[in-house]
Amino acid sequence: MCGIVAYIGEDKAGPILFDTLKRLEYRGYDSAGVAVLSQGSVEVLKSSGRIADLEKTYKSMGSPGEGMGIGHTRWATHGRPSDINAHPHTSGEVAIVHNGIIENYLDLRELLTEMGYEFQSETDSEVLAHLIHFYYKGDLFAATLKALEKVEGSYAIAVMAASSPYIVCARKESPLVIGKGSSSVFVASDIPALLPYTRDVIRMKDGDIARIYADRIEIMDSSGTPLQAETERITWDADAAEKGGYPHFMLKEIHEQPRAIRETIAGRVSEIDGDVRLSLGISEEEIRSLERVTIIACGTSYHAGLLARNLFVRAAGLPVDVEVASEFINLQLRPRTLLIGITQSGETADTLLALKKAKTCGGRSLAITNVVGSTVTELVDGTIFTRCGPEIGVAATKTFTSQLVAIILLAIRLGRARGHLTPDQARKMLIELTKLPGLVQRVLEKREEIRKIAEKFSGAGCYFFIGRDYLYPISLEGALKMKEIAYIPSEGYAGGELKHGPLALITEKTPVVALATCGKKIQSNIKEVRARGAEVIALATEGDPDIAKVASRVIELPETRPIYSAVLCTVVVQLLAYYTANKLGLPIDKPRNLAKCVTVE
Amino acid sequence: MILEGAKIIPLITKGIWADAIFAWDLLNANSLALGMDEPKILGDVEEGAMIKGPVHVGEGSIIRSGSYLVGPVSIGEDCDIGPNAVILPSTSVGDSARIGPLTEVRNSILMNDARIGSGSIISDSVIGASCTLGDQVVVETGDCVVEIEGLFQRAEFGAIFADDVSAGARVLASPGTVVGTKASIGSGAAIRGTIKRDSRVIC
Repeated sequence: MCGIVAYIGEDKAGPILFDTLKRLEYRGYDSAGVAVLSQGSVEVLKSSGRIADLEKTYKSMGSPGEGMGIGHTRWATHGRPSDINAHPHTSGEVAIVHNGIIENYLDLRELLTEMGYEFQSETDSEVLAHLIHFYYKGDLFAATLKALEKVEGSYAIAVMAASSPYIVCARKESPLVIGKGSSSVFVASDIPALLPYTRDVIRMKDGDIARIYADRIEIMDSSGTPLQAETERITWDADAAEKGGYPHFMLKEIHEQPRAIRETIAGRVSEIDGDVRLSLGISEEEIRSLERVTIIACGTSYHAGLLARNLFVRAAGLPVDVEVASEFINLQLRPRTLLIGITQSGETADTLLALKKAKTCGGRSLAITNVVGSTVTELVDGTIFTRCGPEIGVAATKTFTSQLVAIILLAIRLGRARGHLTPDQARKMLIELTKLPGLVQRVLEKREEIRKIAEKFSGAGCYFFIGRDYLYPISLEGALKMKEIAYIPSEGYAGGELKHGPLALITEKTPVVALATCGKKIQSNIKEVRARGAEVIALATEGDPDIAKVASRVIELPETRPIYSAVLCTVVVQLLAYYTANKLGLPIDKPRNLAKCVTVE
Repeated sequence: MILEGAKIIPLITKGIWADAIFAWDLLNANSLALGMDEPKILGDVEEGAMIKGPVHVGEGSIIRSGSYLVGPVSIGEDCDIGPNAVILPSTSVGDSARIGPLTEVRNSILMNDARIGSGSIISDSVIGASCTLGDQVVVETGDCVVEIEGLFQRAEFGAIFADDVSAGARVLASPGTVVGTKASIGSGAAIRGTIKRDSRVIC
């Protein structure tokens, strides 16, 4: 996730670009840059770090530029945050800013290198700059149209060239809006960035491409046929808009999960040979010789690690130890152990410390993280990025489900490399995995049903979450979410463990959430708690004939493999915790005593 | 086997184990076994054919232009593949087999001297030795129930053709079809279930 802006008009572009970029900082903030038209050439200023610092540099240069420019604030997905990887990217007189992922960039990069283009950065976006430059023969609009035909993936782009009197914008699966001023036009990834300047906004549709002059906007579809654009008058304020109309970032991020999962999968699945493309920095030979896996993580990431424990053993024949980072003391890892650190921020102090300790035993290491260029990536041999954009709510939501998906991808890769999964088995798993974002969307549509249940039980003094197999980690995650944001003491338990103690706590006042999409055994556990008078909210597969007989309430989830149903159940428990906290009137995005990124031990 | 006097010795293996009881279990075993050896291209691969991943091509075989092979795949000796054939992972082809133009084969076993015509789609299937399948033969794949000696088995595969089966053009086989030795299937037939050896299916 990144933010892009553009301006064309009578005023100086630079200050306006910086101001609008600052309002997009929530979309990412590891590096930034602007390109402005200055005395007939394109002047580019970019660096890693905050936008405010870049603005100071711009002012110290005497605020160059005239009334045309583009800008970008970056959240790295391909290539670490650095001055060179920051946007805008240039090729000759063409400058572009891009938000999205170019899936076929490796192929295009090879092609363009053969044609003599030299690549400066490690990003996927630079291919676009060169591609447009290649087609640019005086008509920037036609050149962009041709270049986009060659591109697979998602994008929102703004393109300018020194010799072109207009800016070209286009979008596909990444957001882009155009704001109309009196004698100027503003473009941004999101509406709040524009609100100080204008309230007349055109939302570009998927596949639209626009030619933008200071006094007019021409929108066309992907074949170049002109379209009639609808202007919308925005009446709400900027603060609410950053949350995209949702009352809390947490709810927004819960709803971003289909997209986040799609981004995690994008470009990594190869259906034809039933394999996953991940650059792990570990040879096939080494993967085959692995004997064990040790996973180190904290909090929500630890729960993701627990899912890997069951999955790796089945898909890749690898036994897994999952360790809470702050309790990690085992310094006798065997030599053929693969070490995996899971941390959303890549900066979690406990996880970093434990990884350093464990690395002294030798062996290969991997990280699963959301932040390109974070400390953990320096520490390990290979990194899998979850690519789901910055998360602002303290309670992890979309980053957790993306971690689960990353673990599934890794499991398939390891399974294939070790000959444990046949290409055909892997192919079938991958086909179902690509359907997962759609299934998550269907679960999100059950929000009203979940809200009613959450509100009914919001007065509970204690919550129980039970699950078996792949769903045991999810029951822990559900309990954690309930504790974190709703402040209700909750317990997550393996279904079979109830009878070994905690059953004593269950009364008719204890709601029990039973995750029941993975096997039939959980039904006897449900009966155990029902016999104590507790209300059971069961999460079951659509059309499950038995569940309604044992549970008091049933939330039906779309049918899929048990491993993928873990992701669907996660979404339900997130919504349950959210609506409970909302009913209780708690500060959901900033729960008491907690911080997003824990950089102390 | 013990009653018949066979000698059984226990062995501990650290290798991969796959049960092979029914004919379709061969597919899984084949899939696991493929890619264990170092693949070599000994035959002739024409310009314009694409080979990806571990693909073995035996001596004297020819992969014609426009074909697309994704490993793990093993092709025996003196085979004639393509032009424009698509062979996808976990496919083993015996010696002197022929796969016609525009045919797709995935996760299947073709034994020696098997022939598949043009424009066919074969997946999750076993094609016995000296089988001749005509043009545009389609094997559907999916869950099925197969009757074996009076017992019903749940399985998931395409079709099993025993040796010397001949099939005409545009034959459509449902998941779980098992065709006995030397059976002959007329053009345009839609077949399912078990077809006994030496039988003739008219349509």
